[in-house]
Amino acid sequence: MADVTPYESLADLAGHREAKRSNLVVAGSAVISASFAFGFSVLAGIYVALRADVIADGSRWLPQGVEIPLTQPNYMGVSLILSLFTIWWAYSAAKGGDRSNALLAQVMTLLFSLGFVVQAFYLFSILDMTAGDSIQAVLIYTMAGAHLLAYLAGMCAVMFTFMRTLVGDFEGQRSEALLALAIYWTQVSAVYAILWYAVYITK
Amino acid sequence: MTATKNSRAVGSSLLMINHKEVGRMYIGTSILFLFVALLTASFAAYEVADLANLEIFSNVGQFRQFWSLSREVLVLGALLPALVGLAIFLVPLQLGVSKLGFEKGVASSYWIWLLGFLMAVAAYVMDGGPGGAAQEFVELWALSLAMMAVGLIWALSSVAATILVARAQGLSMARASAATWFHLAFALAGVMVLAAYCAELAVSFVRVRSGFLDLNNSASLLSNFAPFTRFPSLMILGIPVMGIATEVISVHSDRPIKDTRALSLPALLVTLLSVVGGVSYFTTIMVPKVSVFNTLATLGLLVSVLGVLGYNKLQLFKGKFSMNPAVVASVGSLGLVLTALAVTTVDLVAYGFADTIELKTLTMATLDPDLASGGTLAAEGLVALGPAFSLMVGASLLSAIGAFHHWAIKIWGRHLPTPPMMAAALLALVGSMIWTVAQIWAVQDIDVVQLSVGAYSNTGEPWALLPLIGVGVTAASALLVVISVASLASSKVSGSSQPKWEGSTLEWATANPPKRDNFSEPVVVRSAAPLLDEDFGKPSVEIEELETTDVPAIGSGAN
Repeated sequence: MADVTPYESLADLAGHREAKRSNLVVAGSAVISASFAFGFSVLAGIYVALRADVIADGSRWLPQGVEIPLTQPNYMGVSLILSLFTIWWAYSAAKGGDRSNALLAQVMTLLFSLGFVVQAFYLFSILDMTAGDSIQAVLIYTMAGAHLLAYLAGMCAVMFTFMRTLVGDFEGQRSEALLALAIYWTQVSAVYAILWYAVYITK
Repeated sequence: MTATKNSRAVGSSLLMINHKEVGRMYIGTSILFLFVALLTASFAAYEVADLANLEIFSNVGQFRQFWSLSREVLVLGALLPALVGLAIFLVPLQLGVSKLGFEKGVASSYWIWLLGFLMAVAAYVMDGGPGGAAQEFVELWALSLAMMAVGLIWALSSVAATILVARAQGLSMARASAATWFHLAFALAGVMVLAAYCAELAVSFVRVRSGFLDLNNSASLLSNFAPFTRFPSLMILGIPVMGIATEVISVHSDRPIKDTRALSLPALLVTLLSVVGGVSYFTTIMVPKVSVFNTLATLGLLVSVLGVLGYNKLQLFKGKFSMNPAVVASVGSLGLVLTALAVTTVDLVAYGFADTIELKTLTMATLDPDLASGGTLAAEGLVALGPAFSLMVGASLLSAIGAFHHWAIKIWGRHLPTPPMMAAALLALVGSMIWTVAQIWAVQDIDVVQLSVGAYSNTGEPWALLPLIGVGVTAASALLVVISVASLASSKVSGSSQPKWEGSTLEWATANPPKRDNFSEPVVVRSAAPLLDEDFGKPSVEIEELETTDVPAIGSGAN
C-alpha cells in the first residue's frame, strides 16, 4: 500500500476505475435533451420570425377561418406539469429505495401522459386547417408533431423504467436511469412551454 | 453449432462493439466518400463555367441536383463523419478508459448514418432531392439527410458524455489533452447544429408531404444546406481542426502541453459562438440574413482561432521543428481556418449590413411558392461568403490528413508512407486555395437571377476553369489519402510498425494498435502530460485488492 496519496484511496480508485454506466446515462440524457431543445428552438425561431414578418405587413398571421382553442392546450399544459411532478417523485422514491412509491409515480406519469396525447390528437382534429394549406399550418404541425414524437418517446422510456423498477433494477444507487428520464421529461415540458406560448397563446 | 457461431460472428461484426472498430469504419468509409464527393464536385465545377451550354448534364436541373449532392456528401458523408470517427477512436484512448459510452449505440449510429447516405443517393437517382419532381423521393431525400444527421448526433452525444463523466482516475478536465477539449467542443456544437439542421429538414418534409411546396419550384429546398456553407455554424468543421493541430504540433515540436486550461477558453468560446451565432441563419430558413450578431460571432471566432494559432506558433518557434506531413497539414489547416474567418469577417463588415433588407425579402420568397424563388443557387456567393466553404473543406481535409498520419500507428498499427501523405497535404492546401480564389473572383460577376435560370455564361473569363482546377487538385489529394490507407490495410509489410514519435498523452501508452481494452491496468493520471510523470504506470494500490471490489463498469450490463 505504499505511495498512496489522499485521493487515491482504495475506494476512490475503485470508484473511478471505469465510469459507472449510470453516470453516462445521465450525461447522455442531458446532451440529447439539449440537442432536441435546441432543434425545437430553431423551429420556434422560424415560426416567430415569419409571424413577425407577416404581422409587420399588417396581415393576420393565422389563415382566415382558423381559430386555435385554448382549452386543449391548457389541459395539456396542466397534464405536463403534473407529470413533471410525478416523474421527479418517481426518481426521488427510487433513490430512497421506496419501490412501491416509485412504481405508483410512474403509473401516474403514464396516466397524465395519456391525457396529454389524447388532447393533442383531439386538438389536431378540431383545427380547421390541413398542413398543405399554408406555411402557418406547415410550421404549426411540424412543431406540434416534433414535440408529440419526443413526448411519445418519453412515454416509451417510462414504460421501460416501470418494468425495470418492478423487478428491482432501479433502486438506491442505481436510480440514475430515472434521473436521466426526469431530465429528458423536464426538457420535453420546457419545450411544450415554448410551443404553448408561441403558438397557442400568441397565435 | 457452426451456424450459431457464424451468426454470432456476423452479429458481432455488424455491431462492432468496440470504439476502435467503429472509429475505423467511420474513417474508412468517409475518406472513400470524400473522394467521390470531390469527383462529383469537379463535374459541377466544370459545368459552372457555362451553364447556358451544358456538356455533361442534359439540363440545369440535373446539374443542380449533382451540385447539391456533392455538397451534402462532402459535409455530411465525408468531412463530418471522418472527424467524428477520429473522435470515436481517440477519445477513450486519451481519457485512459477501455470503452466509449453506449458503444452499441455508437455502432448503430454508424449503420444509421450509412443507411441514410445510401438512401440519399437513391433519392437523387430517383429524381428526389432539391429540384426533384418525384414527391416520394423528395420526401425520402429529407428523411435520409435527417437520418445521417441523427446518426452523427448519436455518436457525438456519446463522445460528449464520455468526456464529461468517464475519465481515468485523476484526469480532471484541467489535465485533459487539447484534443479532448476540442473534441468536447466539437461534440457539443455538433449535436446542436445538426439538431437545427434536422429541424429545417422537418419543415421541408412537411412542406413536401402536405403538398404545400410546388415541386416545380422545389429548388428552394437547396437553401436547407446553406448554414453548413457559412460561419458561424460552418465552424463545427473547424473546432476539431484546432484540437488536432494543437496536439500534433505539440508532439512534433517536442513541447508537451503541461496545462490545457489556456486552451479550454477558446474551445468553450467557439462552441458557444458557432451554436448561438449560427441560429439566425437557421431561423431565416437558410437564406442569409446578415446581422450584427453574426458579424460579432464571427469576430469572436476569429479571435479564438487567433489565440490557438498564437499558442501553436509559440510551440513551433520554441520547440524542435520537424517537417513531416502531419505538421504541414496541421499548420496548413489552422491557416485555412484563420483565412476563412478573416475573409468572412471582412465580407460581413463590408457588405452585410447593406444586404439585410434585400435578403429578408428572399426569405419569404423561398417559403411561399406563389412568390418568385430564384437565387438559392447563388446564395452561396451572394455576399461573397462562398470562399469560407472551400477554405473550410480544405482545412478539414488537411486536418484529417494530419491526424491520420500522426495517429496511423494507433489506428492501423503502422505508419502511413510519408511521400504520398506529404503530397496529399500539399495538394489539399493548394487545391482549396485555388478553389477559393476562383470563388472570390467569380463573386464579383455573379448575378443571382441569371444563375437561377441557368443562363449564366462566363466562358472566356480568366477564372472560368479555376474552380475545376481547385476542386480537381483537392480530389487528387483525397485520392492519395485513399490509396495510402488502402495500401496500409491490404499489405502486411508496407509501413513501419515501430513508432517514429510518441506524445505524452495517454493514447501513447497503449499498444500499436491498442488492444481490445486499451489499457492492461487501471490508469492513474497526475498531470496533463501523464507519460512524462516518473511514477506513471506504478499502481498506487494493490491491484489484487481492486479485483475484489464489485464496481459496475461501462457496458458491464450491471445496470
